[in-house]
Amino acid sequence: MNIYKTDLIKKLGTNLFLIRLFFVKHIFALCLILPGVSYILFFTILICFSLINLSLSDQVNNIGQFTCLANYSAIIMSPEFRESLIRTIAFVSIGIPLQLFAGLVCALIVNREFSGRGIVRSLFLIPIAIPSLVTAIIVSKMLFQFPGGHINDLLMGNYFLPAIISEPVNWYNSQFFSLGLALCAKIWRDMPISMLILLAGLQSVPKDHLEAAKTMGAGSIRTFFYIIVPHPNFIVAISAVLVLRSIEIWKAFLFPYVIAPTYQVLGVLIEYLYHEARDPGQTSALAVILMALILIAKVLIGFITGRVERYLIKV
Amino acid sequence: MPEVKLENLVKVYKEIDKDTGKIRHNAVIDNLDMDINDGEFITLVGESGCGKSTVLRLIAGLDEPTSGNIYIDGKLSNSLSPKDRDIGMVFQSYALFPHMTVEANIGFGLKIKRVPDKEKKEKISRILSGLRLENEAVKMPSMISGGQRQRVAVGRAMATEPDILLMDEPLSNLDARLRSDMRTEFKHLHKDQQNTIIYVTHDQVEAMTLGDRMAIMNKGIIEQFGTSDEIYFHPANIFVAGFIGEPRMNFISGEIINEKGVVYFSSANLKLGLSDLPEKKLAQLNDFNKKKVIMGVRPQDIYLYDHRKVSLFRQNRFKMKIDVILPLGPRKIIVSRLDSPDEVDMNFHVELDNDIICREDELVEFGMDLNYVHFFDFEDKKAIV
Repeated sequence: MNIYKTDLIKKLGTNLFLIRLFFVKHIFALCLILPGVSYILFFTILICFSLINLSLSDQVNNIGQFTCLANYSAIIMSPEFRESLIRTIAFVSIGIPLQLFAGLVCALIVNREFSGRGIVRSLFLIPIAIPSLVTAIIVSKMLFQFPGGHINDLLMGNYFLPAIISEPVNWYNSQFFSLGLALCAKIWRDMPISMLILLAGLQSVPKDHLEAAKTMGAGSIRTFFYIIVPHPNFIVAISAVLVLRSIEIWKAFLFPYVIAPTYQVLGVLIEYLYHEARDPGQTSALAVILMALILIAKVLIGFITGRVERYLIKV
Repeated sequence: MPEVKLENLVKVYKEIDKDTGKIRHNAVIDNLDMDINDGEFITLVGESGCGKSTVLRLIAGLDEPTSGNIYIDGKLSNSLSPKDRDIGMVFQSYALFPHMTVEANIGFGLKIKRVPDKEKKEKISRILSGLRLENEAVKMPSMISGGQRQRVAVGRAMATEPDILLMDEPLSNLDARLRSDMRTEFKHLHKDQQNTIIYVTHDQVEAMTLGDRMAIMNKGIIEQFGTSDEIYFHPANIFVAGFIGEPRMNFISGEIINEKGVVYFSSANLKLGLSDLPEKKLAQLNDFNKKKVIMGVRPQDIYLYDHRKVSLFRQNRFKMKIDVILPLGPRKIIVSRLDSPDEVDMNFHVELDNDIICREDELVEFGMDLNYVHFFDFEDKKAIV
């Protein structure tokens, strides 16, 4: 028994020595990753942890009391949540493909060689140069205002075109229209980021591969779908756009909040719960649900892109 | 009827001059004519930047000619898209699609042509077995060796059974051993399929061994187009003579002198009697009396004087000091220095059997066979006889 013990201590000693050796050897590398690690620790892990902690406790009556999943069940049972969940899912499932499409079209335009390409590329970058709030206000208060607004004026024939309608349209009466407007504004604003990522992807597909496809009889459409899209250099860009944009659209707040405040999506509902209902517990529960939804969506996107890729490259 | 016919082909690239910042027009191909017959194996050879790959790209339709015409199968196809030309192309980088298996790479052209599944499978497996790639069918291109990738590239180009197979330096990324194996394989392939192959290379051995006919290109024009024998034994000009042959042909500049009916070639290094030449050649050379010419003789056509019959070399022997000796196994190359300043190349090479005894810094007497001596006009560098 004694022998075992000393053996164990010896082993532990050598292990500790090895660990110390590891630290001494890699001190420089460890110092380099320290800021990154501490960032993730303080700004992600700790915050998530306290968020979950908050969501499991009562924050209205007996502050700080552990209530298990009461906040979650209250949220899930509430009709506002269900409505805004459906809206958000519609928002996301229309928004992501639209976002990808818009970015792709712009990237393909800029990827062609023509004179003045640099200017066009700069023009396409304008949306991110304008603050989101300004964009949202331009859209809601200037263009699509009711009863004034430029679009109403245009349709009523106050500008150059003949009149199409006689009464001004209240855009914000319809759920479909006001949310659609918010979505379009968001996509317009985020398009340059998708465009730049996709452009980098497009340009990293070797020209040889495209030419090889051409000599084998593929036109530009089939070259695009069979060679460019599933090309490892490009599929990375597509996945990046899909994942980044899907996160953005799931938690969209500013555009729906300014343009379509009556039709809450999840991002707006969080704000409502915190400021109007003054319930931090339910707010954090909703935030955790949103996080879970984003994770599920990410997995789903990965699965779908994998499927599409496999379909495109099969013999 | 010629399968491919190039007529007054010109390709000009615009490029920006680094010094002046102005747009400069750079003619990569300058008024090129070429007739390629059905089923011929043509090699295009030249130094890098001579426009040989551009010719291939123009035939493939990847670039459009600035002017001139390209006829494929008698049809004017200047601006015809590559997919309508019935070609297959092997790229120097192979350009295998990295995201597709070997099988899918080979089947890509068939997939594009919407060949029915069963037929497609059959064709792919036939090509795979023909190229000894059966075990690699489901591997990714990154998982197979260089030689195998090369074979996949060839198989992919052949899968749709194109009329014209274009190859752009397909062997330049392989090691020497594999390259010579693949040369034989290409020859077999052409024998079996009998399709037209246009093959671009910078390696003269590849060009000579593979091609039914070869075209030597230089600065956008074709210097000579013919069989390898024609080009080796009757080079049209100094460029071709110097380009083909290893070590390169020796050039000595001098004058033709007719002394009382006896014709000599005279230079600072040697004086050579030419009366043993055939009548016809001699008559042509007589026109160049007292004019500057360049004599060319291949290192293989020069012998050490002692080793041949004396009578044969009565007038055409000359003395030279051996500078260095480069042994090559069965053969060795002797290098001497020419001492006149206006020579094309100061080194004078002689290739001898290795068992011939000679030493460095020794003065020896060489003789040469006049039947294999070439003369070129000094002015326009064209062959005289």
